[in-house]
Amino acid sequence: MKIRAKMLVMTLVLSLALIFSSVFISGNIYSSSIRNRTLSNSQFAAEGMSRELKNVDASEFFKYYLENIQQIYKNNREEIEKYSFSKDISPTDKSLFFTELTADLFPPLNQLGLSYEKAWFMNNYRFMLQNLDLVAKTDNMQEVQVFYYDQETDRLVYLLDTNSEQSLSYHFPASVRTVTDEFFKNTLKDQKPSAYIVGNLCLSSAPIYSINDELIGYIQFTRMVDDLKESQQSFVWTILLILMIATLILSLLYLLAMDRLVVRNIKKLTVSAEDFTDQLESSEELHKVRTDIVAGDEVGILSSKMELMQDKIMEYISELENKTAQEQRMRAELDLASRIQTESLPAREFNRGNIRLSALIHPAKEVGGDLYDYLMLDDDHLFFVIADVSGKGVPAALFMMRGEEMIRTKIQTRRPIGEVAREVNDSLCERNAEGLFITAFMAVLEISTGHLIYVRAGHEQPFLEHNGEISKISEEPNVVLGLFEDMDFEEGTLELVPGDRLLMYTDGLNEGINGSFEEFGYDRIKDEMAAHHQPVLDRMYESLCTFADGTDQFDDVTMLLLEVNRDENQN
Amino acid sequence: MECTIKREEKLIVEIHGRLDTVTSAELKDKLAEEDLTDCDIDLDFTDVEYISSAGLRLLVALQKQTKASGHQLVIRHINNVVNEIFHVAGFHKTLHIED
Repeated sequence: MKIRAKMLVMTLVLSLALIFSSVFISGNIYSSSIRNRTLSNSQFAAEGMSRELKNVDASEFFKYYLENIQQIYKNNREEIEKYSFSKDISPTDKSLFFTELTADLFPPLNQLGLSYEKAWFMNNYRFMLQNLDLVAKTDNMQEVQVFYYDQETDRLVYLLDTNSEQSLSYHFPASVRTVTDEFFKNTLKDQKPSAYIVGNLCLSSAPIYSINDELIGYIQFTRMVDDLKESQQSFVWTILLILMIATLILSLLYLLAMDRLVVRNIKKLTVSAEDFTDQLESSEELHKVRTDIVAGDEVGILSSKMELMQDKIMEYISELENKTAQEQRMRAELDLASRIQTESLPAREFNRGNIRLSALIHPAKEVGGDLYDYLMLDDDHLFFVIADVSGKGVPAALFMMRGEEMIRTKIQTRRPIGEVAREVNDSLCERNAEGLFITAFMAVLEISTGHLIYVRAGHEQPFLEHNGEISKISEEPNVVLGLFEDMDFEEGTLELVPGDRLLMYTDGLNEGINGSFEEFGYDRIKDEMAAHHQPVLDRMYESLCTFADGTDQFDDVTMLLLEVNRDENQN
Repeated sequence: MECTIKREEKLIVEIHGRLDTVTSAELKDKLAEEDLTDCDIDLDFTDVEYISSAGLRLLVALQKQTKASGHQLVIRHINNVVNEIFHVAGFHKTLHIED
């Protein structure tokens, strides 16, 4: 709808602009053609009148009349000039002039008495005037004048004027005017009919000849151009109306065509896109939505591209589904691996005599690279180990399994623990192209004496609580297992007494981070250890979780706690 | 992690930032573009804030490579954190560390 509305507005604006410009142009053309027609009509009327007057009676009358007027004008030239051209002449004076002048015309006639000539003259004069007036009205002329040109004074002397009050009351008017218009000059010079528009008046004139072809004077028609404007306006309105209707019809046709070509197709596109997205949202099985647009234009191209896009989306979605399924399989396998790994670890708690060993393990990924293990070598000797593989996930777990089996196998041969470490290290080095390594803390405890022999291979230093004081056990560490061949592993010893605790952990604990990349650190471990006894491992882990505050942990967290109790354990 | 590699008499590699699993792999790729067999390598650890086990593995691999071609890998200017990690892992025994 929006596109349609826009198109409608645009079309209307365009067509209105078109209408007004065409009306303006055609109005101008029409106006000038009207002017031309007026001019030629007027000229033609003047010419016709000039021919009309060239009959015996008219020319005789004019000749006579002219001669008299000429005579009077010549006789009274000075006086007439004075009246006609003095600057402050008033209408009364002028009418006085006319009265005098017309009165003066009569003496020659009066001298004749009520003779035939006078009656003839009066008849003719009336007749002429009526005729002229009639002709003027039929030709849409407002005024008709007859004048002659006085060369000596360069004056136009008017013999007849239908516009004059006097003339209509059958007096004999005459007025004198200066030759001002170029038009008259040209008519006088060429002796030809001509027409001319000045202001809203159209003036046309033609010479009058007697039957003997002598020039008597000139006839002049005056016509308003105003009435032309009226007809012009109605013409313009008609054109405007026609154009508007035509434009409206054309605009509607254009809109319909555009609608068919563009809007309807776009609607189809929208509908098909909506159908498709509905499918996406409703998790139905996807099927392609065809647009049924057959067009070679941009909309057609868009349509085919959209269908192509649907294909691609469907392709991607099915690909994604496959991937997800695959991932789910992988996850299930990892879960299984994780269970296997967890199950392969010994119980979380071990008690023997006054010795308690407890463990906690939290892999950061499904399968971890951390490990703990313990084993009674004989009735009095407990072996235990905590270890961490470089890296995490499946590769770390696999490498760890290898190391663990080796340690387990070799420790049971009852060789010194340093030697065990050396052998495990060398074995791991043999086939380790990936450069994985294990850090480990392993120890053998003589339960009856509290004598502990350990090897620390690149592992975090455990915390020892001895006689109520907590500190890291201090000795030079050995290198990690699996990287450097032929290394010696030095043993360390501790003499544990009842009440002592040994906390072993992997770096997932002390390097546990919070949102601002701060590490949990050794001090917190030490504090937590001092603050809690049983169950210190759970408290430690809770404390780490509180510290991390939801931040993803990069590493597995494993802890192993050895406690030498004052009394024998109950179980 | 950023690093600048200069080749003078030795190959001098200045490392900035953390050397963890991701950045160690980046450093490994960058070093793979260099010929590491024809000279000693100096690793400048002035701006290394942290090194993870992946970083340690990279160091060991580098050391083995330089040793095999008869050259030496020297790690310089390690800070306390890195020094502690080296000590925990026992690397100070096998790596050549100088100030």
